[in-house]
Amino acid sequence: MEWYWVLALLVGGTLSLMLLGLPVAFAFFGANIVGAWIFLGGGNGLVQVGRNTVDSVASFTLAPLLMFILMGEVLFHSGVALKAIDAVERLFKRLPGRLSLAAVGGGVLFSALSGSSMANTALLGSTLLPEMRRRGYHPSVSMGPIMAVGGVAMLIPPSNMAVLLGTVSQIPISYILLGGIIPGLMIGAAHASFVFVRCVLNPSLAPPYEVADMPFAERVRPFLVYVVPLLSLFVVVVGSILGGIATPTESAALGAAGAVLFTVIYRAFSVGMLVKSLKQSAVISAMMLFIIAGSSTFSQILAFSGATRELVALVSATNPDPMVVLLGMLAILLLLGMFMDSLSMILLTIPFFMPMATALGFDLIWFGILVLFAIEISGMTPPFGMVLFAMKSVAPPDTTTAMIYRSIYPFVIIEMSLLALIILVPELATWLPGLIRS
Amino acid sequence: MRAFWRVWDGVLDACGVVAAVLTVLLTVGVCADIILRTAAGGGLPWVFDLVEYGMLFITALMAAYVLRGNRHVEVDLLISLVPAGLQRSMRVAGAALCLLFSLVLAIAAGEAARRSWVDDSVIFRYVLIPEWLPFAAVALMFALLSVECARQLARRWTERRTAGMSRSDLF
Amino acid sequence: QEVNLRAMIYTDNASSPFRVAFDAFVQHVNERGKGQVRIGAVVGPEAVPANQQPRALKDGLVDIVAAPPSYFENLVQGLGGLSAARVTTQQMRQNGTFEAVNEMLKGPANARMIGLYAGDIPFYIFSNREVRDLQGFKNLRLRTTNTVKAFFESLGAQPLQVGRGEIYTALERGVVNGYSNINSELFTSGWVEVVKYRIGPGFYSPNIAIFMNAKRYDGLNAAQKAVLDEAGLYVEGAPTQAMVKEEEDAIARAVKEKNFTVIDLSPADREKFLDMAYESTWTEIGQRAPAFATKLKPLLIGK
Ligand code: NA
Ligand code: NA
Repeated sequence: MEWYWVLALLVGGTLSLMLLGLPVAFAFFGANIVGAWIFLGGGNGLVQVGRNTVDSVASFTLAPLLMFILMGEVLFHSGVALKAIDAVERLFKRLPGRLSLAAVGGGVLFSALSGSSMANTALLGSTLLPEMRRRGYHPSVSMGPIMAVGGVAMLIPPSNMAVLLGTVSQIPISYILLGGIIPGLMIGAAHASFVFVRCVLNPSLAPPYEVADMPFAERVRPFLVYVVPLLSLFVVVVGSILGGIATPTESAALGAAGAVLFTVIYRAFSVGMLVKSLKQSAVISAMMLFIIAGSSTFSQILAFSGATRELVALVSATNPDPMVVLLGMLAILLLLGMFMDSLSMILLTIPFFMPMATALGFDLIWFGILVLFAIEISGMTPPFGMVLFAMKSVAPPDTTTAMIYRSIYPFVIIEMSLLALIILVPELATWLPGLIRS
Repeated sequence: MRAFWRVWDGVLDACGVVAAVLTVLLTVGVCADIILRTAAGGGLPWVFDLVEYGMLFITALMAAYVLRGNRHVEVDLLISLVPAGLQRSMRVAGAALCLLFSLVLAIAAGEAARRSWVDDSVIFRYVLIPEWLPFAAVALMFALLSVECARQLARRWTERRTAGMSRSDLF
Repeated sequence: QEVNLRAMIYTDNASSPFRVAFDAFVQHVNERGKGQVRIGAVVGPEAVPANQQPRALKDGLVDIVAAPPSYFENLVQGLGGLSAARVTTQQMRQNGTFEAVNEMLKGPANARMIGLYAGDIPFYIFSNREVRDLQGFKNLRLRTTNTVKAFFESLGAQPLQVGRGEIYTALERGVVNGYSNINSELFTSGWVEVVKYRIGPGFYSPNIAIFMNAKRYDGLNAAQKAVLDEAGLYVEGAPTQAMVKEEEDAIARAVKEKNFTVIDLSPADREKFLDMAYESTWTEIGQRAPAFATKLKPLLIGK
């Protein structure tokens, strides 16, 4: 079978099943069954799919997913997170769309302790979205910025994806980590400005609500009581990594434990709260891991059939102009990203991209950041985007997929423009790593 | 039948409890490893394996639980646009396909577990783990999903019938 | 009639020396075997996770798998011991190791070892702490794999399991003080930035095995088998020698460009170090897989 038929069959099959309304994971499993039968080889191929499922889920690098979600759930169900957000609101009394701005600000802050965009989105979504709903915020300034800023977790260290990309591409990991900071902050600033301007132009998107007039000291006090100590949770997580106490993955467990300790200190702890948080984090992480199980087997079958290799080879064979090749590679990532998760994309494309990038004489740090950025964007492009799924899993049940898609697209456009900016001004990615480059 | 589903709900709830306990174990395990190696000069290297297989079991136990609560991610783009009648038919077809996929994969993973059981294979990690165990977890996941999918299929089938649809309205 | 074979390798790193040598094997087969045997595009863990490749080979999903023998421990307990050998691959060819291993692989793994390369390259311990004697390993936190677990414990080091992707950060921040691997990983994984010392002597060897599905091999005609067998011998020669050179170049480069220090233990400590390295692992295999140890330890240790 020609590779393009393979691609059409598997991708088309998955998309059709998704459109039929099957849960995304089941759509992948359906395509996997057909693909395994044809390409891996009948019954034995199916048995192998059963085996491969183990390895996609039983992975230590995915553990922060579970633990950061637990952290978010504990902070949320105990009410600590809500109090912190109220405190932030109180601080910025007159700002239009203050919850949206708090979401972007909080998202950038959470990025500094979460290495996973899905976990970041889930954390922000479960802590901020209910409050935004209650205050009558429009989806485009509530879900949108939460999802968009969720991806920043992948750019600002710690970042699982940066480490994975560095390992596969052999670009020094510390450079990719450092190089991601400025683009990450740029995204945060761009989204905050966009949300702010929209809310100024159209106040009904984020209805202002009555805040009692109070003296400055009283406005600042809750911030000192609820937000500043919460920041110490970041310090626990980031500090344990920087201090050489824990690996980035392990530090997530300290964050979760720290969150529980917090609720005890704030007298917000109860067994009921803990049980509820545990159940919720098991539900959310199982839902995410179930999709990962389906999608990683899917890309394994694509790789086994040779379809991905042929696709990448075809594109790389067409044009020798470096900029066109670069744009082509980023386009492949964005295109694949519509159907595939970040991890599989890195594993599939980097072995082909790196030799090309080296041959064309690209600055590899710049190239690495562009790849990471493109992968970050593809996490929020419909129909298959991990942060979209993360949002769907924590959003209120009446949230439709269409609402999620509609609320994300302006942010996709913003980030595409930022990506273009980094292509034109490589220093944005290379300046910071350059400081430690000998 | 109603009694069966009551028992079934109990089974899923029990899965939820086990998964919650596992979540605690993994988190506490990692923290204990960090604290012991920092403070006592010797950590718990096996926690790594505990976490990896713990994640697998949490997924396996919770997949059907999540399905019962309709918490699995769906792309309801098309289905929310079509007329109610067709929508109900699509839901029946969807549930039937999910049941079919779950059954096939439960059998496939079960066969993987059986082969490893027969070979008496052991995975050589920090701790030795019988190879059939992780495969059995995958088989369990799809077996639980099969039963839950069957319930959803029955429910959607009834919904479609009581909505007064006839076969000719289907397509 | 040309036979088409599907080959797979355990590593996802396209520029890993183990992958480069395997590609040389594939190329050799395809050149010498024109009209007889042909190996198609090599796939890696992006197609079948490395842990599941042995069973994919056993079930015939692929025909050839290149992997460290320890990956096949689930099918043949103790096989990882091939890495803890004190004899060369050429000696293994002569002293009956290959026959013994193939005898053990045949039933449980439905596999046949047609080649074993990278045998002339040792592992070393790399660290950001200066270790001058055996005492220096006490309480050193070392990133540990199953192959070296028993050895590191007998050195009194603290074994830590760290995912491959986190080794860099873990070394940089001091969660672990060292690891064991081959020289060139200093550059291919960028770890040269976060370790300062290599502590010798070298021990064990990566010994990547080329396994073939046994039924598939038995079904080939004599000429086709000869092509594969010859390629197996070939990869143990020139490609492995090229790797040896790369390894030497890598450590020389680290010393020259990265202010890296090579430490050799004193002759007395060196002996003890090596005895501990091999004895610890073979004791552990003896407990876990007595049949394998009884048969292969004498062949692999050479005494
Ligand atoms: Na981050
Ligand atoms: Na996407």
